[in-house]
Amino acid sequence: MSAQLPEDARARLLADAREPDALPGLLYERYRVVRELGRGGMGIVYEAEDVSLRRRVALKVLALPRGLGPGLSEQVLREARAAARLSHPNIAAVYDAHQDPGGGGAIAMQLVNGAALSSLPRADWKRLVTLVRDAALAVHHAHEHGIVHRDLKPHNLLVEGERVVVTDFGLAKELALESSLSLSGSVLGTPSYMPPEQAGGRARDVDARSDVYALGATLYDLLAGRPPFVERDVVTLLRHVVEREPPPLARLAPRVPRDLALVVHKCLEKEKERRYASARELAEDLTRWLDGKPVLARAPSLGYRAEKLVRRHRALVAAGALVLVVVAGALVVTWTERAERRATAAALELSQMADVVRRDAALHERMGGEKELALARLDGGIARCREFLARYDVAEGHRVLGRLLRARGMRDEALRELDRALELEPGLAPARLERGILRAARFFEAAGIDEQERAATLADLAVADSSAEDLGRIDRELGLAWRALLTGDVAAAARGFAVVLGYDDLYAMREANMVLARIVAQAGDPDEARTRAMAALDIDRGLGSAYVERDPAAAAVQRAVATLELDAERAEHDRAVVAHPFDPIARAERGLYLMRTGDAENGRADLETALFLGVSDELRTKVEAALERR
Amino acid sequence: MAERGKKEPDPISGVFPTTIWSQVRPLSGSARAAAIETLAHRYQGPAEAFLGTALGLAPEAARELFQQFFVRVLETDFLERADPGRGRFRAFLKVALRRFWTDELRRRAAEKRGGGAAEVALDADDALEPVDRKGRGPDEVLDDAWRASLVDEAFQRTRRELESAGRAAVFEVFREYYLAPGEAPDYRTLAQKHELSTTDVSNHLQRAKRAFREHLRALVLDTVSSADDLEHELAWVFAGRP
Repeated sequence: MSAQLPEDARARLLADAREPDALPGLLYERYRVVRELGRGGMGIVYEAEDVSLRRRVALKVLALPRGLGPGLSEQVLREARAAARLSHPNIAAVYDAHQDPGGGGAIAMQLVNGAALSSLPRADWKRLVTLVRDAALAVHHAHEHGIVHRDLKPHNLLVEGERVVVTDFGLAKELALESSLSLSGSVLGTPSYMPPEQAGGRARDVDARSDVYALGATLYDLLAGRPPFVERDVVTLLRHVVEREPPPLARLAPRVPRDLALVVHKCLEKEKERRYASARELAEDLTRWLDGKPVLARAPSLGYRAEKLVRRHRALVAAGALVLVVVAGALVVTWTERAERRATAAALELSQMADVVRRDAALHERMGGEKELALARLDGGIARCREFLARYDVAEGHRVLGRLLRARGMRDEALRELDRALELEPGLAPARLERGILRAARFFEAAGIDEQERAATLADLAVADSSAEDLGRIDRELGLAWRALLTGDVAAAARGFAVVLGYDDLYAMREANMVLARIVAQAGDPDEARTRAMAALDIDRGLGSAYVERDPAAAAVQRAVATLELDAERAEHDRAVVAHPFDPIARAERGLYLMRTGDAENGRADLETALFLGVSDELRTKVEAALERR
Repeated sequence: MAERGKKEPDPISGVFPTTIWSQVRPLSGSARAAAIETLAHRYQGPAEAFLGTALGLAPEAARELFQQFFVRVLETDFLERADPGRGRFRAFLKVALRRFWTDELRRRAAEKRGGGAAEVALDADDALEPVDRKGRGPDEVLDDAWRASLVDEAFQRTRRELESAGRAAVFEVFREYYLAPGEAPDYRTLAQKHELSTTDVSNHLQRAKRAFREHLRALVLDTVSSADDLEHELAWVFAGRP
C-alpha cells in the first residue's frame, strides 16, 4: 500500500466518512458533528455545533428506509416545521428543518442533557407520576396547536433534574408502523406503546387521544417495568395491541396503588371514547392522585365487562356452525400471510442487495479500468436474483432483477422480467416506471416507435406522476423526462435529463447524457453534443472493444455516439443548405452524404438540384457517378 | 447440512452480493488461492504487524515470516475449514495468525532444546501476551494497522478516481482539508487559495467525501459475506475500537 496518511488525518477522515451523507449538502458548512447520540429507523441523531449561531444542538439526520420515498421525508419536514412553532419549557424546541435535494433532510433540535425517563428508579411513584403529568401538560400544549406526537414512549421523555422534556415532536409518523412491519423490529424500536388505532394502521383515526394512550403505556412501563404488550415478533405484537387487553397492572406490580392503576388502564382503553378526552384531563387526574384526592378514573363497571363478554360470545354464537370453517380459514390465511410476509421480507432484502450491487458496480466503473469488476458485480447480483426467483416467484424479485439487467444493458431480458413482475402484481409502480423507461430508451435508440407502443410506454411512464411513494427520485425524474420526449416536448425533456445529471447516479447519468447528446445534436449544437457524448462515454473510459462485446450498455453508448456523429454531420449539411439555398456545392455535398447514409430519395433530389444549379466538372463527375450507381 | 425437519430454508441467506471473501469457500484450487491472495496482499501490513508484535520481530523479519505464514495457509487445510459464510476475513486472519504463532513458538522451543526433546505444552494462548511499545497486544496492533490501511487505501482510490475523471482539483481541496496539520482549514481559506467560491469548496468536499466513503465501504465489503457482518465490520471501523 502506498503513501501513508498522518494519524490525525486518518481519524478526521474516518469521523467524517462515518455515515452516508451524514450532513447533506450545505449542512456541512452549518454544523460540525461532535458525536453520535443514537440511531434508529428514522436516521441518526448527532450532537452537533451550529457554527453560525455557536450553540450545541441535537441534529437528527433523516435517513429514511429505502423505498419509503421522498414524499415521506417532505411530510416529516412539514411536521417538523409545525413543531418549530411550539414553545414550551417541557418540549425540546425544534430549531430548524433542512431538506436536501437528494431526498434526505435534517432537523436541528434543542440538545437536552438528560437521562431517559425509563432510567429512573421504579419505586419512586410520586416522582414518576409528577414527571408524566408534566409531560402530559406539554403534550396537551402541542395538541392545542394541532400537533400530535404519535410516538411517545419512555425514550422520548428525557429528565433534566426535576424537569421532563418531551423530545422528537414533529418527527413521528405513519412511518413508524409501516417500516416496523416491513423492516425488522429492531430497526425502529417496538410499537409497544402504540395505540390500537395506530397499530391497526388506521392512521386517520389518530388524534390527541392516541397520545393519551401512549402516555398511559409509558406510565405502565415505568410502574411495571415492561410495556403493556411484549412480543418478539412485530406483527404478533401489533395484533395483540389491537385485540388483547394488557395484563392488569395489579398483577405485574401489585404494590402500585389501585387508583393509579385505574388511571393507567383508562388511558389504555381500546376505544378512544373511553380514554381521557385530552392529555390535560389525564394530567388533572394524575394531579388528583398526587394530591391524595379520589381520581375520576373508574374500574369498568360490571355491566360493561359483561357486555364485552356477551359481545364476544354473541359473535361466536352467530358464527354457529361456521365457526369451524372460519377457524380453519383463518389458519390458512395466517399461514399464507406468514409465508407471504417472509417472501416480502426476503424481497426487501433482495432489493437492498441490488442497491449495494448497483452502487458497487458504479463505483468500479468510475474507477477507470475496473470495468471487469463492475460487470462481475452486476452479474453476481443478477445470479443472486435468479436463485432467489427460483425459490420465490414474487413481483419484487422480478423487478429487482429487471433493474440490474437494465444497469447491465440487457434490455430485452430486463423487459421480460418487468413484464413478469407486472403480470404478478399489476399495481407495482416501480416496475411500471422501470418498464416505461426501458421501452422509451429502446425506441429512442431504434429511432422509431409505432403509435401503439408509444401509448403503452406513455401509460407506463404515467406512474412517474403518481404519488406512489416507493418510486426512486432519480427514476421518477428519468420517467418524466422520457415522457416529455415521447410527447414531443423536447425542451422539457432536455430540462428533465439535465436534472437527472445532477443526481450522481452513474447509470441514470449515462442514459441522460446519451439522450441529451442527441437532443442538442439535432438542435444544431455539435460541440455540446460531443461533450455530452464524451460524458456518456467517459463512464466507459479505458474500455477496449473486448469490454464492449461483453457489456451491452457500453455497446449502446457506442452505437448512440455513432448515430450522433451522423446526426451532427447531417445537421451541418442542413445548416449549410439552409444558409445558402442556391449554393450547388452545399447541395451536392448533402446529396452525396445522404446517398452514402442510405437516404436515396432525398439524396437523389439534392443531387439533381445541384446539377440543375450547375457544378464544377470535377464535382459533376462525382454527382453523376452517385446518381448512376443508384 | 443436517436434516432440519420441516423448517423452511432461510430466504434471506444467499442474497448478499458476491465478495472476494464470500468466494473463498466455493472456489477451489488456484482460483481460491488467487482470491485469498488478493485479500492477504491487501492486509499484509497488519498481518506483519501482528507477527512482529507476537514474536518481537523487526519489520524485515516479520515480512519474511509473513511469507512463510502465507504459504502455510495455502498448503494446509486451514482454508478448507474456514467458513466465510460465518465471520469476516479479519477474524479469520487473526485465528490463522494465532495458530501459526503457536506453531512457531513450539518450533523455536524445540530448536532451543536441540530437537528431539520431549514436547512441552506450549501455546500462544498460555504464554504471557507480548505487547509492543505502546502496550498493545498483537490483536490490537493488527486492528489498528488494519483500520489505518483501509483509510489509506480508500484515500488513494479516491485520488485515483477523481484524477482519472479529470477532477484533480476536487481531490486537491479534499487532500488539503484533511492533511493540513492541526485544525482543518476553514472553507473560506480554501476558497481563497484555490480561487473558488465557498459553495464550490463545500461541493468539492462533499463529492470527494462521498467517493472516499464508497471506497472505504467497498474495501470492507470485500472482507465480509453477509449484510450483518458488513454492518458490524463498518461499525468496528468507525468505532475506533475492536
